[in-house]
Amino acid sequence: MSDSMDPLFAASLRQELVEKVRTTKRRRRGWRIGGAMAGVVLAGTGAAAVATNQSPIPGTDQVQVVKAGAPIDGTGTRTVDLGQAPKGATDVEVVLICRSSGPYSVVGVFSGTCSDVDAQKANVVSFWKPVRIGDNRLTVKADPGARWTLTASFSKRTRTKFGVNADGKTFGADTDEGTPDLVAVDNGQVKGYVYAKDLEEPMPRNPAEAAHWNETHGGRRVIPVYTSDGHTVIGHFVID
Amino acid sequence: MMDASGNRWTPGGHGWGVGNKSEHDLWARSLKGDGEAFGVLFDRHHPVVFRRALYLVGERSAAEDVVATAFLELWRRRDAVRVVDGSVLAWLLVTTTNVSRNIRRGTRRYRALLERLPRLEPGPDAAEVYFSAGPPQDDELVAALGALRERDLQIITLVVLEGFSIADAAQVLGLTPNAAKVRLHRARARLRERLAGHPEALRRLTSEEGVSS
Repeated sequence: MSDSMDPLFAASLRQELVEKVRTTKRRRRGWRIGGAMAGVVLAGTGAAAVATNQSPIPGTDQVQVVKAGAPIDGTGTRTVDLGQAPKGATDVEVVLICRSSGPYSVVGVFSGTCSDVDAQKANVVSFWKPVRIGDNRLTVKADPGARWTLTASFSKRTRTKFGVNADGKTFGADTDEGTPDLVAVDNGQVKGYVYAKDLEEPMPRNPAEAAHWNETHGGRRVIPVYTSDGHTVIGHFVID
Repeated sequence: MMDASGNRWTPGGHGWGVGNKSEHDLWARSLKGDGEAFGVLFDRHHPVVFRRALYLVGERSAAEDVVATAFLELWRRRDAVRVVDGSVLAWLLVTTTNVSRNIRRGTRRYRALLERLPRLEPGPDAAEVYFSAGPPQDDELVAALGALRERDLQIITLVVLEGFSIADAAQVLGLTPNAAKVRLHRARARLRERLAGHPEALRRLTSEEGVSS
């Protein structure tokens, strides 16, 4: 008789969860990736690295393509050999186009659903995978007969520094290495910066305050969007 | 037991104050892709989630599947998770009740993964239908809980069995505190009605209710 989980199951599950969180971090607009998209789109969280021809948002990665990949057309589940990583490459950018609707995954890095519209429009998802010695294969899992195209390019990524405005406030993308004072945001209509302290949901101090906030705010907050100077308001963000 | 941030914590504890600051940070770090932070959240909450799942499904390996599904859902639906007092526990418990209600449907999405995870003692064990450890269980109480409607079970789980305040439960269920109060009142009435012929089960439930007001 036991009142706790099987320790081997628990340890394996923990490992699985840690890996899942670590590898599904970088997302960009595209197919529905495991549920709803974020209410607020923080610009430059990894995905900005795709924009190689633009100057990156401070704090994101500058990307230099070392070896562009050729598109590989596949059907159903298939393992693709990427070959040896060229010298200087730090990451592989993988772009997957679904040509049939259904569930897709790339083992260890991505899982998502391709809708009929995604398939019709040949929508893409892209994600990054660090180069690891001896690990140069990708397995795409899809329904039998599901058609897809995968392109894997070896790139060199270099992290850029946050900018600093006249007030001495840092601005840039909210990354895993730190949060600037002004965080880059992009909701498709306005691109700018919001104060990190505005983005943080203020925590009620007691149950009565929580109840009051719930009733008065209905869970919605509106915060200003600035240019990098932190003074000029160029729009607003609604946080649900 | 200490978590990675060095703060002492208690499974199921959800008091107000600095205690959950560390969890708020863990969740924020998880959302930024810090797998180990999510691992610490798992360490912190899986005993409570498992105990609750066991109460609802009455069988160990099924309860383990529910725990796995609840945490996988926590990550999959991370954009929709309601964080209460900096903690994801209430959300996990609501998900646990939902998955437990229809375990076959609830765990389907993760079936391949669940079958791949190794166990020391594989397979369901018919002898382990009920457990002596954990909360007191009996046929009547498990059956009465099982017969509740999903939304009634959610609020009973949070407030009566786990001791969350009505305000916290309201927040995670997306209700006003008044609506939560009304729902709780009705759910309790239905539960009492079902247990009317079983005074012992009712007494056990009432003793558990001691944690709530």
